[in-house]
Amino acid sequence: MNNKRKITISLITTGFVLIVLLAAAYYVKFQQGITNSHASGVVLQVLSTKTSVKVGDEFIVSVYIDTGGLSVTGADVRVRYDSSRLLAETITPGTFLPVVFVPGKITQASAIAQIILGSNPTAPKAGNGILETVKFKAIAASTATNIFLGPATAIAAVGYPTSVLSGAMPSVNVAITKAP
Amino acid sequence: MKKSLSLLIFPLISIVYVVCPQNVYARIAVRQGSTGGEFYDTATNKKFTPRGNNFLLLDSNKQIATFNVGIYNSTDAESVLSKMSQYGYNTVRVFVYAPAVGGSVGLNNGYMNNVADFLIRAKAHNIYVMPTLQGIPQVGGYLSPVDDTKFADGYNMTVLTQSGINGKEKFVKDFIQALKTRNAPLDHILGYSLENEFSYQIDLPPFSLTKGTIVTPGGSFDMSNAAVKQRMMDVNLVNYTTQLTNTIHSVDPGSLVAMGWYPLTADRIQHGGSTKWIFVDPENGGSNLDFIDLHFYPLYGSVAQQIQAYQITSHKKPIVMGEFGNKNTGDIKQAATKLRDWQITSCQYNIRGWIFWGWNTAGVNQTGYFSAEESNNAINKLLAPVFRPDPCSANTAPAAKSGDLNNDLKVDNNDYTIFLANFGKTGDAGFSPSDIDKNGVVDIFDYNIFVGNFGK
Repeated sequence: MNNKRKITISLITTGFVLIVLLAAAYYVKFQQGITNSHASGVVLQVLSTKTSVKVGDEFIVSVYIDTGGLSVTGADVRVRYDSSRLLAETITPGTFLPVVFVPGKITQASAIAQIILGSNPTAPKAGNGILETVKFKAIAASTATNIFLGPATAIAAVGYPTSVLSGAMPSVNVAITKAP
Repeated sequence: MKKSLSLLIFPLISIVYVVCPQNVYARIAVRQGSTGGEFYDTATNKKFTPRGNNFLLLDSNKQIATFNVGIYNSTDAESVLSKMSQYGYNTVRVFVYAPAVGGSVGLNNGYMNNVADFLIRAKAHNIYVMPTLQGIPQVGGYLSPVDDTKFADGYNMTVLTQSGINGKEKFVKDFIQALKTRNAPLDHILGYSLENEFSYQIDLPPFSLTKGTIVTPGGSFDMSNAAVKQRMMDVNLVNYTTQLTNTIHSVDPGSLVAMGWYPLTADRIQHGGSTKWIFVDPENGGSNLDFIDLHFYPLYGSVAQQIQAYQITSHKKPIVMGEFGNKNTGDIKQAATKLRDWQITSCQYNIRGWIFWGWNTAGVNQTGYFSAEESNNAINKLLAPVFRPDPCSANTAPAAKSGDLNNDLKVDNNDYTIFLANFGKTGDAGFSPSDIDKNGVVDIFDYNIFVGNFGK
């Protein structure tokens, strides 16, 4: 197989995977009745790869942003959870905001997983994408443990002196059953 | 065949040798402008106005030790030069101090390594260096014994004896050769200054003698005649500066040569001797110095009074105020205003450059004078080119944009680096320039403002 053909196939495959991922994200959103946080057009969503897990299972929660036409320069994202049910293991920055001001910081005792991100100084970011992913481990059973964005979560956008987020913060519920 | 080839090659080599000029390193030169002598950048042909600071370090005995091994620190020098550059300065004046630069034979290698390191760093920041070659090294083979009943040690001996002139010539030649050997960027030497603050010692031989004849490189003089003594000063000063200038030009063609003079007051004129000849061109009996370095301090009277004391009769040679500063008594902001006004006033007298005394005088316990950075850069804020681009006007540069964290009137990657280093810090409102919205924390909302101004 020549190189040109390989590249074409790779591009098609990558595009297909992206479309599937986006479709899956929206499917999860609508199936789980996830709430959004938005003002001035910016929407944040909390998405989970699993809605039901067993104790000991790991799963990924993503924080998704749609800037709604605004140019975002910074995001201070604080994921809150029930630390008696979940253990936050790692935080990984997404690619939407490439400058990492404060790398993932997990405070299990306070049940906060925080990361602070920024755009490149020359490129405030408009559009949508993943801000971060948090890997959780289920440690105790619960019919529906809530993972949500804390009230101190803030988004800065060009032209706005304060956070462009307001109203209820988004969340997602995950059911945890006992391990067999 | 061989013979004819030789006949062809030798003339060719001779022609190449004669036609090809020697290396000219210096980038800054002097020319006649519309109002007299001025500096210009030979690469751009634009007028060059030296604006900078004196930089010196002292040892524990408060002796100048800027480049002494064990005292000079390249990291610190880098930091100083970086800051000077950020403030828009283009010149730094340093002392190559004779008591420290001599080695067992010739110059001290470590010392010269430090000078070369400083030059390389200065060039990287586009700053021109004015080394002041003060005195003659006491060790290293530069001094020869002279009859001290006729010529006192110091400037009297240096200028009035051929032995002194020879020693100084060897010193300046060795200095420049040592820089060449180390590939130091001679193109970023503004000019070599022959002395820091020249003055004859009129209370010492030969001026203290009242009879007899004294033979000097500039002729023989009758010590019983006051007018002849004055002529001896003038003639020998011209002779000394001309010989040393020629020597420097022979090893660094195209370079500039200056000499420094201390602040003159009416009672100090006599002590220092007449200075007027240094301003005069060779064809009129003066020396071939390229420019003049005069030291003015408000302490010694007004600009007009000091200009008068220097007996300036010509503006053909550019004059640089190689030192000006203020005693560190009273309010530094008032002192800064006085120095700014002093600088502006001096423009009326065709001063072509200003070098503040000094950058770190407080930092090295060189007490007695305010330094440029102290009290939150009180002096810099009124003298630095980034704040006052025109040294002859009180007008300040446009206000810095929010996010211009290093005050260089640009919001750029240098500010970005500063911002990143400060992110997350907390304090009182406005505790850091990075706390742009002055809410006591450096956060994404400061960054939001920063991004809004980035590139402006």
